[in-house]
Amino acid sequence: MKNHIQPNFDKPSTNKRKVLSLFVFHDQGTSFAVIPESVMQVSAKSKPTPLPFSPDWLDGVVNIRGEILPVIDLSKYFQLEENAGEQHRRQILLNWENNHFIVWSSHVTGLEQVKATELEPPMENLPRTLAGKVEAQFRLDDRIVYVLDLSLFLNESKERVSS
Amino acid sequence: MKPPILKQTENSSTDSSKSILFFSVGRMDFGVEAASVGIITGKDWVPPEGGWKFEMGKILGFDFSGGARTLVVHFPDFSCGFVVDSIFSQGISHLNILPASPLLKSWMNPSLLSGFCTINHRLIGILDLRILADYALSHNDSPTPKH
Repeated sequence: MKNHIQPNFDKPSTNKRKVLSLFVFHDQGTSFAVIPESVMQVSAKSKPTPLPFSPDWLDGVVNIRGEILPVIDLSKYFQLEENAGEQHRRQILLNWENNHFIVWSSHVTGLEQVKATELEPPMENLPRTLAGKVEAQFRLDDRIVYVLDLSLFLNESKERVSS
Repeated sequence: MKPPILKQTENSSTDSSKSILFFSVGRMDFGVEAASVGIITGKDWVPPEGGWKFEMGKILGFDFSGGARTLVVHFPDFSCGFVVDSIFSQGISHLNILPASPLLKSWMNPSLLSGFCTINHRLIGILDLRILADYALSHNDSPTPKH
């Protein structure tokens, strides 16, 4: 699997013509993107079974084809302001290095072709909880889309729970 | 004579089915491997010397509802009882256990659930009673009345 989008901000001339496919989804007013290879399935929401001794951003688990999958609320994980008008409508099953997990989404845009030149390094005033987990960002209509680094997200989440 | 096919299946390494005892704690339902439970008795069970009695609802952070039954477990080094609210009317069921993934276990601290069963289209976590007991014993503020 191609693990990272590898934006090359220092040498824009080398990747000017490069176009990246990114999977874009939105939740609670925030837009995220991941590499398409990490998306296994998008499905209608099903109610997770809550778990004891789990963080508030882990909503529980669901059973999909005999596999027990944790369901993550990214807005809670990143402590982002929640948009009360948006509801969780979809569940996106992600696979990162054989770690399977689900994230909520209120709206799925799907695949977007993004020119490498449209990718920007993460803003300096990025919310503190997002810093380090965003590889890049780009504009889609009037929104800023954060390209998630799933590897860093998973590593940090494990450390956050164990500490 | 034909070989005992059923017995072969039970011994198969691919067979992940276990006898599970289901019960309620607070508003949640859990299961444990029935083989790990010694006896099921009333809530007034008194632990033997050196043993412990845990109110499972309080360990798990729920409002304690008083309890009704005690699951008595004999570990190699001590015995203890877990007070639960009620035992499922289905009693013990022989079901497949769906394992918890390493990722899921890493997101629970302590990682109390060894797996899950589906019963009546609901997912129910299978508790590891030893981990639960160790957790309760290691937390001084946990409500673990000693004999």
